[in-house]
Amino acid sequence: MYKEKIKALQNEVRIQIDDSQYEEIENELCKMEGIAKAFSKVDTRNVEPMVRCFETEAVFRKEDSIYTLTKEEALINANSTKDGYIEVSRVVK
Amino acid sequence: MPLTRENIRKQCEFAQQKTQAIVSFVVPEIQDKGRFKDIRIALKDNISLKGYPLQAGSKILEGYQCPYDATIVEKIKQEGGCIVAKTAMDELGMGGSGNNDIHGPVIHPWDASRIPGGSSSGCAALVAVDGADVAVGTDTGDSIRKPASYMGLVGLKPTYGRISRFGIVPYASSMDTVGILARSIEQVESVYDVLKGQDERDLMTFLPKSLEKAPQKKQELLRLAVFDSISEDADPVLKARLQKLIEQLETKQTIKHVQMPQSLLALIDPVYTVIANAEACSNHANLDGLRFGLSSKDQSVENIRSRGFSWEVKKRFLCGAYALHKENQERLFIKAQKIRRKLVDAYASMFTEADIVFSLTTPDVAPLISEYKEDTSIGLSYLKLSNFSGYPSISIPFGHKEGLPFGLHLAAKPCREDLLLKAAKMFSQVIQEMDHV
Repeated sequence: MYKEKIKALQNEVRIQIDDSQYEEIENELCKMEGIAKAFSKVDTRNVEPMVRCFETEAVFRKEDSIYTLTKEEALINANSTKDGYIEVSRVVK
Repeated sequence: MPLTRENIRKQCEFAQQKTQAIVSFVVPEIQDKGRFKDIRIALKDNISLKGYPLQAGSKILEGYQCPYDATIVEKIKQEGGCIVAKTAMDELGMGGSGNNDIHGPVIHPWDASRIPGGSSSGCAALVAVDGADVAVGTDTGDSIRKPASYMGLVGLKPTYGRISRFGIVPYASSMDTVGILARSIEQVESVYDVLKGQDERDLMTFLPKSLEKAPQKKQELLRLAVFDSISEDADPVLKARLQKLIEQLETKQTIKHVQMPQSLLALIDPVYTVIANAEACSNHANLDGLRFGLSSKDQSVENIRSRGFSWEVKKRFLCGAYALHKENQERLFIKAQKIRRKLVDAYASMFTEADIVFSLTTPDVAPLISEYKEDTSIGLSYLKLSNFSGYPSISIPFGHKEGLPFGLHLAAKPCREDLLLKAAKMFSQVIQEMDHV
């Protein structure tokens, strides 16, 4: 029942799972539907979603520049570099 | 024992043999000034320490070397703190057992057949066996307080945003909080005093002025309330201990009893599951091997991510994506956020006539590894109320059952760590008096 949904989720999350693992993911998604059912019984009329702990006015940072990594520091962890850029597999096929 | 590189190394190696808590030994910088002079500090391996690996328990970050220090590390170094190790954790903070596929389980120092608790398992284990004096970790659901309870330590989860998270791998950003573990309340307090504060690199540290300027008038007697709903299914030994504590406190003052409806408490775990998995899935979309971590020029992002995450994490990401999917978002993710507000409102109402709400941290001592499964009982899931609300809380050593420690949990209103730490010291005193009667 969830096979197509699981395929779509894999694409969204960019993870591949084996066919043998589908059943376990189906069970997990069934649990999620169980949660949705439990949620549907809770009256949340006129209740705003709580996005974070303290809902305050926006805080703006000063316009002063702050330290950031140099190009060399940023490239330290790249698996492969070329001409000062990170080299990756071809993405446009 | 004097603080020398050789002694520190010996202590860490001894601790490692007992606990397998360390993932990176750090060459200690021993300074002779600052508030942290002579204090050995361990860092959970999701905290950036310049020049050292950071893996956060995940293969996807294999080979990553931190090019900068987290804000809290800068503060530790400025105050002469001696960083001795990076410690093991559940992968990306997602777990509570102390187990990990890449470096194996952290071992409970008092009973190797039991889980140490997580995800700050390595932090707690290292402090418990004196491999470090203090450890800094993170708490998104209970990850400082649960291992503190299981290993007889003090574990503080401050107000959300009190301590900068710049340079720390996120899990669920609306709940992630930097926390501190130590063997004494005074030690936790001294570290907290240094680490707290605003940081322009983490704008959540700019807390509402109305909270920051909460009345600081001297308060002699704290108003105390016990959270009754939590301990109903607790182990009888722990329940009896709590009852004895209440009776001891009642000789000095009135203790209020507070509750939340069971129907609401039962929603804590599902709300956490939906929000945490959705936020984690979104946060870690950047872990693709392209700029850092596990990578291969000839392999796709899908292949790298599939190899890089454990099965447990993959399941959580898929469930998180399911909750965020357009056809489900309203009835799962947004609904969870609304129920979170209802839970927080109910939790906050317990503090209208109480400064401190207390309860058992965990319903029992550390469970056996052979019997462990993710515990969704209210006696454990209620710890997440502190993360939903952002309220500060602390676990302090409370007692032992068959030689294994368990903790007492105290919570206070936002930005009232002053009252929380005062209460922790007072409760510790009362617990000592109980045991000497």
